[in-house]
Amino acid sequence: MPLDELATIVDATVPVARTARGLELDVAGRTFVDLRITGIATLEIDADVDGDLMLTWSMNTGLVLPPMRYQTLPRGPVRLHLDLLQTARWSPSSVPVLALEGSGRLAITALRVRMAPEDPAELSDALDRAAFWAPESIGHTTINVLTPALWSTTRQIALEDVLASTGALSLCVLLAAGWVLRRRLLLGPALAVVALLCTGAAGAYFLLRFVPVARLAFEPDREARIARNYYFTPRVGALAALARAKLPESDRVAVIGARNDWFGPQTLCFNLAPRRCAFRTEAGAELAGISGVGRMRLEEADAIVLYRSTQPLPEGFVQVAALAPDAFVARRR
Amino acid sequence: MTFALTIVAVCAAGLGVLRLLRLTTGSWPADVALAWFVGSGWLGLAAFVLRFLAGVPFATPTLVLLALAPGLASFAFRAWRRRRGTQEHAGAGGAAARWLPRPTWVYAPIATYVALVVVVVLLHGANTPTQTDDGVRVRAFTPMLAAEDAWPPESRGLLVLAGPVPTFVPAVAWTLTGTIDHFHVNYVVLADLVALLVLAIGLGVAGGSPERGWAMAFGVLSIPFFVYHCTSTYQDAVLAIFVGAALIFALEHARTGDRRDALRALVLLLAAALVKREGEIVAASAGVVVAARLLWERRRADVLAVAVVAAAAALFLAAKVAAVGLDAAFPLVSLLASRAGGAFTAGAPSTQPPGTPGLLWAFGYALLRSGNTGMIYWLLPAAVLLRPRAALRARFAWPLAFVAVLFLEAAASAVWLLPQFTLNQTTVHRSLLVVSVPAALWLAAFLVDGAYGRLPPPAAGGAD
Repeated sequence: MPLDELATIVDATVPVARTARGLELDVAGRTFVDLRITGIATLEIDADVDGDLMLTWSMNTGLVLPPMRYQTLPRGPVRLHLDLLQTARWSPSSVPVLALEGSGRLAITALRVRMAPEDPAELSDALDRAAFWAPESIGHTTINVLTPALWSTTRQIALEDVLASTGALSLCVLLAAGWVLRRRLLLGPALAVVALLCTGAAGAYFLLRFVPVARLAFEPDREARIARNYYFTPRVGALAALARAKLPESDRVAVIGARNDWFGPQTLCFNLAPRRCAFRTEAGAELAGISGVGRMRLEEADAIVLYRSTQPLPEGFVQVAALAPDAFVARRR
Repeated sequence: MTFALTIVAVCAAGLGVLRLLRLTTGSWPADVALAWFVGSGWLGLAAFVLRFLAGVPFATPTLVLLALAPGLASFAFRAWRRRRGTQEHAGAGGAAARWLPRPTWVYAPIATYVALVVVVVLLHGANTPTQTDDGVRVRAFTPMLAAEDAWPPESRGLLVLAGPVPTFVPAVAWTLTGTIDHFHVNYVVLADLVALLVLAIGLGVAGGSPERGWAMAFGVLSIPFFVYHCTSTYQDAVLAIFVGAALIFALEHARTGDRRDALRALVLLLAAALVKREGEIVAASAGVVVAARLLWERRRADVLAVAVVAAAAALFLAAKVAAVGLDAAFPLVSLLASRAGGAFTAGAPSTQPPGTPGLLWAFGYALLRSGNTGMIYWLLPAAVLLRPRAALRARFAWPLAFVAVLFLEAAASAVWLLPQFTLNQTTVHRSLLVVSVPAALWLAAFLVDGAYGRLPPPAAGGAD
């Protein structure tokens, strides 16, 4: 798609500049980019990334629903393949939404689209295939429920239904074969074989979806694991690692987070142990420890970790390390 | 790798307890795995009781004492028995063990699958910092409180929520070295999984049926949600692992008739009671089945053993009351009382919007079609219905009763006690783990014995 044409369909929450490199936008915090074009199956984006950014893509459902499709963007030139058919509630009339979070500059240098099939039957097949082969998406809710294993998303046929039907049929065939060959109902062996095949298929399918998103590199350095493995909130991990590196273990730390952020401040405090830590997400509120265990007054803090908060840095503190303008570590002067 | 200290301390304590109670199996891999579970239970129970009933701080001297005391006591007891000329129990070892299952062409893919899943879980689990959350990060936070031995009043409720085993075991090396490595919480969960697999395979090998052991390992690793949970620092999988380990010994007891297997199951259930708030309810219901089976034969020694385990459980409950007070110690009781009194919570059937799928549909979906439990709840009823006489013979019947009690408990929780979490498909899957793992183990044992013709002959003629 020519960049000039792309500029006409982009609707972002921040200004988008048309430069010699392409379409450029500065991201600070959360930015949404709508592409006002319908019926797209896949997007291929060539981009140049300067900063720490995570991209989540979804369709305009008003709410980004699981399974979340996201990727932490590497710095520098990158080619992104976004399969929109794998997102929740894809429909021919929905438009793609790219959500960028972090701090930095993104330049889109080229964009290619593949349209979804127009034939309803082909479209159903494409949607079913995309959802079936999509990797598991690790998010906040994965701890409660995995993405359903659907043989057919469009017809809502569960994989288990298919395996159970196939298993029942296989059992009949095996029993019949046993009767024909040995004049015996070999129920025990037949049942074991069918169970093995059914559980094996379900387990293998789960592995197929889980392995692509699993972190399988051997990483002995625990600081690196904290820094890199907060999959869907990478800035939390990076900031925690930064604060751990900069603050002595004897420091008392106050974490100041964004309003209603129930995850970031707690997680930062957790990772800062054994440092005494308490957090707040409302200006002027009392600092409390994880699960309300322990209290701290701001005057008692030796250091502050600020994450996505609009609250100003309290007086008497100075930045010592920064991940971004809204994610930094400060210590008392 | 300071976690090695945790492994050594927990296993040393566990082996000491096993030798003291004369519950070693004679198979060293199984004994090490069993020692990990029993040692975890011992350290959790003793540290909790000492801290909150006796006011003894959880510090290095206490920990060293707790790790060594069972071994020393066992040594002294054995010396005393030798002087008295009492013969020691030799254990089940000694026979040439067959590690490789047959036929190889069937089991090679199974072993490959097991190895692959274990590697994936170990790497992803060890790489993933604590990041899951249900609002409070208690699962990985209470070990930090234990390491500091700081228990302000507002923290006591968390201790009840997490349970003594998840609280004190990850803090072992932290207390001994003075260094907090957050990933020890992950390592403990991973060690629990490895111990369960080693126990299943080790006992299968020792019992002359490696096929059964490998099938059990395959069965539990075919539960997608269980596999995923083992890579997190939540404790639902851990509770399922402890209960699963107890079920393995229930199956062993049913196979061999050795009463010490039932005692091992009972001890493991005591340890399971120390995992999560729900642990004591789950362990108590399964424990009733095991105790009833033990007491069936009316042996004095068994009555005494059950009484000792019950006394240990009572000690735990007393320490809990001392820690948080009577009301807070048993939050489920007040929940049950309010539910029995007709109180409905938001999202319960009475407040459902029209057109919302019903509770039973939602529960059935969680069991059969959600993709979280694999094929367990399809295959288990199918196996029982197709081979009812084999399933209901004593050898499999009482372990099946063990599973059935857990299922009924989970169903009551999902459909009656906390229906809102079944309707919205959230915690229902977590609460089912504690059933799914024992169910998978039972099913694997039943199917393998059936396939190899190792089911005991029926009392009267006829086929299943």
